[in-house]
Amino acid sequence: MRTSRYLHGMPSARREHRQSPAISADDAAGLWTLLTGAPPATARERLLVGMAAAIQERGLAGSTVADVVRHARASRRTFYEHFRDRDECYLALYEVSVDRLVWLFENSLTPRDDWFAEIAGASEVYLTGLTAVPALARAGIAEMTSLGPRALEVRHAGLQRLADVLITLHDEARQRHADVPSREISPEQGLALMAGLHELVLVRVQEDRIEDVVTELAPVSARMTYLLGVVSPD
Amino acid sequence: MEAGYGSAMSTTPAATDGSATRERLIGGLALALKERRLVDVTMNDIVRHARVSKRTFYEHFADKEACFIALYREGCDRVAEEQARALRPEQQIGDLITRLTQVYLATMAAEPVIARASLSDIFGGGPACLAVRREQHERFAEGMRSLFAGAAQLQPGAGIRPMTLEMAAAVVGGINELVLREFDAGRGDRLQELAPTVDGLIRSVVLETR
Repeated sequence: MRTSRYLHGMPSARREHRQSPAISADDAAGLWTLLTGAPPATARERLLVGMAAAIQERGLAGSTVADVVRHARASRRTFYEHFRDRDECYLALYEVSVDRLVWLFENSLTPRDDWFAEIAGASEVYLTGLTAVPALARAGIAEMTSLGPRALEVRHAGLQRLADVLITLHDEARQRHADVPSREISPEQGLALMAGLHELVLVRVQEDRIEDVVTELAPVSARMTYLLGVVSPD
Repeated sequence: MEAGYGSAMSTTPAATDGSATRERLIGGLALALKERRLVDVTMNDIVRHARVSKRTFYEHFADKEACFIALYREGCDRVAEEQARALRPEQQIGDLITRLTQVYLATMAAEPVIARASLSDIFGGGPACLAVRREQHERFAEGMRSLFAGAAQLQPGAGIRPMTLEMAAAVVGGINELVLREFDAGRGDRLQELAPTVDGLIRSVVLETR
């Protein structure tokens, strides 16, 4: 039941998880399907599912290798064959999540008459994907930065990839709406825009209201993109 | 700016006043950060540079993180002071944006060690650090919002678009990311090269036409 809600990105998922912290193997596999589009196939992927399940249960800070292997029904030995430690396992999960977000975002543009509505729609798809599993969103936005320099590198790389998608989407939209005077968004501007948006998401995570991210921030994201990429006055 | 923490230490050799000792400890951490990253700085490093005892340290701070948060807050205070000194809403809007960019990048470049720690380590420090980081971000976002709101009032017809606090917070977060990226890439001494990007970013948001 809960799995299908994750699949639909229901914002209520986190509250529900708080009431019943234990999550079943089916839930965990469903979570993985949500992240990758396919069930876990390898030992490594099952460990990453275990990591995701552990985070659902205890958050990133509270998750240990013991939790991961328990959820993955794997041995410690198997774990250490794939990952040096918990952090490395988490960062691998983070990268898988970014892959999924990049894919979602790349396919988020629905042609519409109105340039702004088009970008707002894409922003909504992106932010819905980002917050679909609130516990993972919290880990990726508010917790992972404390894992040290390697984590910050991984975060940087992820933000840049997402920024590049944003720039590409913007280019597509401006070609379709050639009547609106517009300009390219540079890689630096795109990065600043993405980082700025994530900053606003972080505030909502800190205020414990991830469920407000999509409705509150999709318009802000679209407006920022519009202001950076459109030449004419409002 | 470079004189900041170092000179405060040498000019207060026999400080008995509590706040002066506190400053010495913060200065001690600032010096220690020039040698190694925050995660590797030990209590011994801080008290050695501050020339006080560990016991004195614990009279002022619960732990290294608390001391770092104090250092971060002071760094932010100084950036805010520089901005308040250099920026006035009556300045012609184009000049005002250029100046805001210059002042921000110059204060970051003047104390690279503290700037980098403030952008990176405060982010990696856990909930207490994130809470203080957020408080300071909001302060700078509100500063930017009210600066341009004032400019819009004083310069009607200049095409200044009112900025929401949300938008200002996104701009502050975006600019900080660009600066952090420069530090991480070893280009901390060339922050001024970011000026056109930062300037363009603010112009896009604040000005109705280019």
